[in-house]
Amino acid sequence: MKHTPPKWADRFLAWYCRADLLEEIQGDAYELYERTSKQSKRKADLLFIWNVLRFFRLRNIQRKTPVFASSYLTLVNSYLLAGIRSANRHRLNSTINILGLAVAIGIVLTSALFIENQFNSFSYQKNADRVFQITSLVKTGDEFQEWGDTPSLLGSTLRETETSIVGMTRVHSDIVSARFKSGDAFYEQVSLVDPEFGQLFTLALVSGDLAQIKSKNTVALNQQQAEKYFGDQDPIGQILSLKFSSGLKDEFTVVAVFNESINSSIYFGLIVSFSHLQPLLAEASTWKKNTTATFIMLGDPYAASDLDESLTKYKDLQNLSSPNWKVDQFKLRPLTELATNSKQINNSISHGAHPAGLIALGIISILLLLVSCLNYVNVAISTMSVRLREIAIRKVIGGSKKEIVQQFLTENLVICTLATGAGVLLAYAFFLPTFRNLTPIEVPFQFSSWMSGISFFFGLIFFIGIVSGLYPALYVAALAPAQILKGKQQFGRQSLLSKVLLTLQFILAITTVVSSFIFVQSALNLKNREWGYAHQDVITLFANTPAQYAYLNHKLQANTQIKSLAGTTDHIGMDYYWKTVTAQHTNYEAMHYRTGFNYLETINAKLLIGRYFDSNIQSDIIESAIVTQSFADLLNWDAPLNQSFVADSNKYIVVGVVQDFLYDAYHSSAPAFFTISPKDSFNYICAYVKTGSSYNVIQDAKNDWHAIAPDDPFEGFKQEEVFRGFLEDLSTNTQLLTFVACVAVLLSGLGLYGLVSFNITRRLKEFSIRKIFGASLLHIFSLMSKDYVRIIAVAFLIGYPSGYLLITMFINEIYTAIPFSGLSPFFYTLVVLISVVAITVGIQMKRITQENPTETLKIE
Amino acid sequence: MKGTYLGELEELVLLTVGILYPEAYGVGVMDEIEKQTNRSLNISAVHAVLTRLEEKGFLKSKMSEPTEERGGRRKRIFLLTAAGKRALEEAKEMRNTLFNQIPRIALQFQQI
Repeated sequence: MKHTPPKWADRFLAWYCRADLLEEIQGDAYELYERTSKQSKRKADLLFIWNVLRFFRLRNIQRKTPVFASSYLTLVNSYLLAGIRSANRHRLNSTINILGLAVAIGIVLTSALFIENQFNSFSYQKNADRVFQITSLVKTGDEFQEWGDTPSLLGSTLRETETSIVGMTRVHSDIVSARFKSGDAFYEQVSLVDPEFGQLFTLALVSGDLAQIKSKNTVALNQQQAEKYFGDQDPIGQILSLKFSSGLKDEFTVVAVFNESINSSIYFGLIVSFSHLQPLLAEASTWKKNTTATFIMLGDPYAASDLDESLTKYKDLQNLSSPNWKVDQFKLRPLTELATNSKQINNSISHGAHPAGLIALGIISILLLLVSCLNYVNVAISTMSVRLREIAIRKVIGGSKKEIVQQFLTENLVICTLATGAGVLLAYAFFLPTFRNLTPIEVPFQFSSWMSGISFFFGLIFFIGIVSGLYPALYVAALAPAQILKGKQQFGRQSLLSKVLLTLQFILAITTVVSSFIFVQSALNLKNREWGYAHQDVITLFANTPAQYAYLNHKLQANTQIKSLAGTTDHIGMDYYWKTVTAQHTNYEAMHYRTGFNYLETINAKLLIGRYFDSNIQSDIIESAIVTQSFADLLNWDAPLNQSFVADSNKYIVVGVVQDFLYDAYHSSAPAFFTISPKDSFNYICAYVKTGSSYNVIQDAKNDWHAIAPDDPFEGFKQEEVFRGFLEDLSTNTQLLTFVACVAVLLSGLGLYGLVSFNITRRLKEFSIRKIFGASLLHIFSLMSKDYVRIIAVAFLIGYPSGYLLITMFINEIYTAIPFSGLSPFFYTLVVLISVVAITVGIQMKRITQENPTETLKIE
Repeated sequence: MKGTYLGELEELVLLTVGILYPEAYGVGVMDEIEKQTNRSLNISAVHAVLTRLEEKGFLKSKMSEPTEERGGRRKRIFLLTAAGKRALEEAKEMRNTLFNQIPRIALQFQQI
């Protein structure tokens, strides 16, 4: 057996050795190797390595000549030229490659922008690295929960006592109803802040002076709000009347207008001085009272750990004053990390995207990029099989493997660069606007810094170049030229690799298509679920005070469009109060709705047994309850009537059972019970109106409302709209999934198209001869698609179950008790697939029909 | 002048090249020296000496015809030049002259 010396040592020798000495030196080393290897290969290897090392002398080492750089440039230049020419020659394949990559790059760019901006959402803040939010760790049950709420005294005390703190602001969130002159009132989010707010947070000022909000009765506004209230007028100096949630009402002068920072995760609507909290809340000066968020700014960002000790001191103060809500520890959260941590903090004023969402987005876009890279590999290998002779001849006349790899990588780079350009355009013109429409989060078309932008693009091109280009280049470079020139190389014909790649692509495409079909189906099922009561013709109006309720009730009674009217404290779809219910010494959890008489009749809850509440029966006010079917099931009552249970230390006796109903959009039914509450606690009025008149009734009520409560915004809605937020979420998710599925189908369709077109070109002569001998088009079509049908069948068998499992997991994570989606997604997916294949192969078949056999056979 | 000085190893290699005429190349020279003098040299050392001798003008070289051995690589065949021959003769002559100047008595060891 003939041995060969260790490859690396041989390569090392070839690399360092002077070209004119290489032959004799390598020859001698080989001769010695061959001689020694007859005794022992190991010994020969060691000797060879030793010799190679000993030959490493100054005299033998290659010197770089200054011509090298320019000759290298010439080389790259001609590679580029060859790349452009070959891309031009195989225009169809190049277009498919570029298009596929561009779509994927566009998507990756869009999601990268989104993710990057999420992580750097405070980068515009001047002092972001020195600002921290103090959060409270509170033990509830067995686990610790982190809350944004902190004692409002904590901030002011720390500011006075700690020298390392150079700035502090509390941000107390409240809801106000705001009104300009005699216009409509709106609910707004107001932040009450300390005088040093402006040092900790940098807001983009539009006009006025933010520092003035230190003084009383002044307000700073988001530009959006300013336009809403004042239109074209100059907002500065205008008077806005604000009514706080405590009922306190006052006039505020607008002193500043700021622009909401697009990439901030904290939203500021209206800003007023923290001093307004004092009259609102009597407890504001004790450790008991919490405020929404406390921010501190340190002189030195590394001093954060020194604060821990003093924070422990205040923990004890807090624990003394509020034994029911004991803070275990105060933590410091850097401002820069708030956007990504906001889901871990309860009641956080920072609202970032859900980390799981970000991860999913990243994974999806990288998957799509991989798919298009696979596409590229596939089409590139097919294209190369036409260029085998070129490669063989280059190798024969002395082109090294390295040079051929270099050539193909350079060609690849040309394609990648073109694709990146196209991808950026696509992202700017199409994907980003689509994304903005789908999510409420504003994404700017820019990276947070030049550095991250540049490194993103370098990384992207490097990734695509290596993933898509290296394999074909290495594959081709390793081919033996003699085989190619003899025509023995069966390359690209029935290449197993390209089949595997195509199968992978189709598996991905099918997985996403199935997922989106099942999701759409489930979404439709969710939308069309039974609500358990007649929600279509029910409207709901808010009433904040008993006086407002009485007035509205009086007005609505006169309305002839209304069939039935009821007041209630809690309302289905709006309120969720879980109560512990005790019966036969066992505790259960159930939902409690406190309603007025006639409420269940008005919303048309279906009575199964017993009776509704009756205002003529005195005991109904105190101890009667109506329960749902699932409540009765939960407590194992065969005959629920006259059974009793205890909730809130009141004993209730069941007088009726109603059908289960949707209590929130994500879940179906829950055990629930209804009791009667006094009139002065009513928050809503519900009305059952004549079909089609809901809009008019709401409008009439709105006019009446202005007469009694001009300072409070009017809120009335159809019961149908109660789950609107949920349905919007659902449709956003549906659209996102459908979008991803469309892209996956497009990409795999493109891949298939490229392969089919290449195959047809290769077999054009065969088909021409078949045509001459009278083969029908259908026959050729079936010959053509035979290979692909098998691939797609395999992909379907793998992709369908995996897509089904994935999406079912996802759906069950969010929505419980989802109805089975049936078989229709299965057929839809099949139809989509078959049509993709039929269209792709069909378009290419056109070429065969139009081609004149004599023309194709004439050549050669 | 420094260039024309012939070192001991150089002289040995130069002689071996002469012996192996017309087939003197790196590995051959190394083997021959080992066979004749029992001195084992590393091939890189032989190469270094051969190159130095060629630079000094004592050897000339040409590439051989390729053979099946050595993976088809050619050998560099070294031949003595006239200067090389003269250097060898001078070295030999100098040795003889010096040897002849040793007093006879110094070579008769039994008297000491």
